[in-house]
Amino acid sequence: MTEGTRWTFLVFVAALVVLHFVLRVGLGLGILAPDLLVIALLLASRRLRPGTAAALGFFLGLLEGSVVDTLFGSASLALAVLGYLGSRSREWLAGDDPLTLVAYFFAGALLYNLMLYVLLAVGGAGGSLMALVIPSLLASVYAAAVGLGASTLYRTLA
Amino acid sequence: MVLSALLLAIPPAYRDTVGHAVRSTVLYPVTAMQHGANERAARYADASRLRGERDSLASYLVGQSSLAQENRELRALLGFRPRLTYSFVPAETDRLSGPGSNGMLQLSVGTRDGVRMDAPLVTAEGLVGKVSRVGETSSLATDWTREGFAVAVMTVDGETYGIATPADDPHQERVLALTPVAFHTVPDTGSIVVTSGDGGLFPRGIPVGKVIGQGKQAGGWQRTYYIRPSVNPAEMAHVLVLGEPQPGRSDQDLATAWGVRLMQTQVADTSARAVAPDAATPMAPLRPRPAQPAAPRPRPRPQPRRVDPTPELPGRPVFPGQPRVPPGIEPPPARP
Repeated sequence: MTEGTRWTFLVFVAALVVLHFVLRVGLGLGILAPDLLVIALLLASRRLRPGTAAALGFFLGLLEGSVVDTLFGSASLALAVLGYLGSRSREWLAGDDPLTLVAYFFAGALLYNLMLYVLLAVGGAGGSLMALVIPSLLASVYAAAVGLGASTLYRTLA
Repeated sequence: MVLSALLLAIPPAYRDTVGHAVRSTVLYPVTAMQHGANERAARYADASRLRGERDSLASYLVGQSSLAQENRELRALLGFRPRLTYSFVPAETDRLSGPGSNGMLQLSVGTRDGVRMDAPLVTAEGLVGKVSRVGETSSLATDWTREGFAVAVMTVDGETYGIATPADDPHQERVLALTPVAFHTVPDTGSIVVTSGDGGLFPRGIPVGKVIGQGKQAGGWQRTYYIRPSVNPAEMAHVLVLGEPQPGRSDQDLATAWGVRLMQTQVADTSARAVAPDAATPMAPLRPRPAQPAAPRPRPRPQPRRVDPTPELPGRPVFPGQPRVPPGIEPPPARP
């Protein structure tokens, strides 16, 4: 993901964010649509400094929490941590090959779901462990596949 | 991250403010698109079903108009006050998705439309849930499937009382568990369960579901019974939010709105008790009592009320955006 100019990349990330809300909220697809917010953050955080990536995660979490009331605050914290860790992951996870990207997206999405579950459980709305494991694994695989497709599309366009 | 932690810690009222500010600015196009999608979905709802409901309602209104007038006149003769009825607000729902959102519904109405906190949600089939957070133009509600939901219920014969909470039956089907039920009380399978009105949160008489069998032992001298709720989660696209009781023209119990006949009638009519302590001596407080106390007369045994099984939705519908005219004030005549 090193191709393209800064502005091209910015537009691409913004498009992913807009598409996330259009699909999930505007068209009412819900979890049928992939979590493009996490994908956008994971892609952006590879290019940003840890603090900036955390701030972007906070902002995206604020947007997500505004439309999904139960995630207000939790999504901001989880995405801020995810952005920070995504930015720091450059130190030990190098390379842009598809396998690395798939692993990166999968681990990121899984970590996000895990953090959300823990935060919601602390607030008394976590649900059962089975409700975490299976949907989170499926959502992470979905996000990894779509993330790989999005990064491939970006390379083609940029 | 500190800001995120602060967001988690702020009170719900401020959360609503922040969320509303974001929704009405940055996310305004998306929320507008969502409203449009909801309206389109409602517009293209099953037309034949709607037509059937309309025809049933029309036939019911024709058949009941004289009875309602007759009841009003009889109540006036007896000195009874008009019974309070419940207003309701029709709303469209959108099920929330994501972690922690199981059993959460977003409603298209808010305080602007008269929705209040903890207001019950119903459909033509029965109880759906209750409002859990109220915004100005939208609200959040929890349905009966969400953990933590609880409703005080009873069987229609009044023999079995308890609290119904969400549970999974042995087939992993989401149902309600009625507990604790006294060991000597055995509700029949198929018995209709309605809200008992205990606790004051849900009015008495809203159908909740039917008893489908006995569950695992609650321990001690108690039993647990499973209830299959009347309203399936897939049938919650359109709901009615019950409002405050208000003087109306209906004199029927809320249970009769769903065609449910409560065999255990209420002990006394509270509206009548305020005027006449004894229903056989109407207008008693308005007249001076005679010096000689009257001999006690045998009271007739309370008879169950005759209830037409045709469903009726009581109250006055209030549509979002429509000006609300207080009761007793005639709306201005429409200009040609």
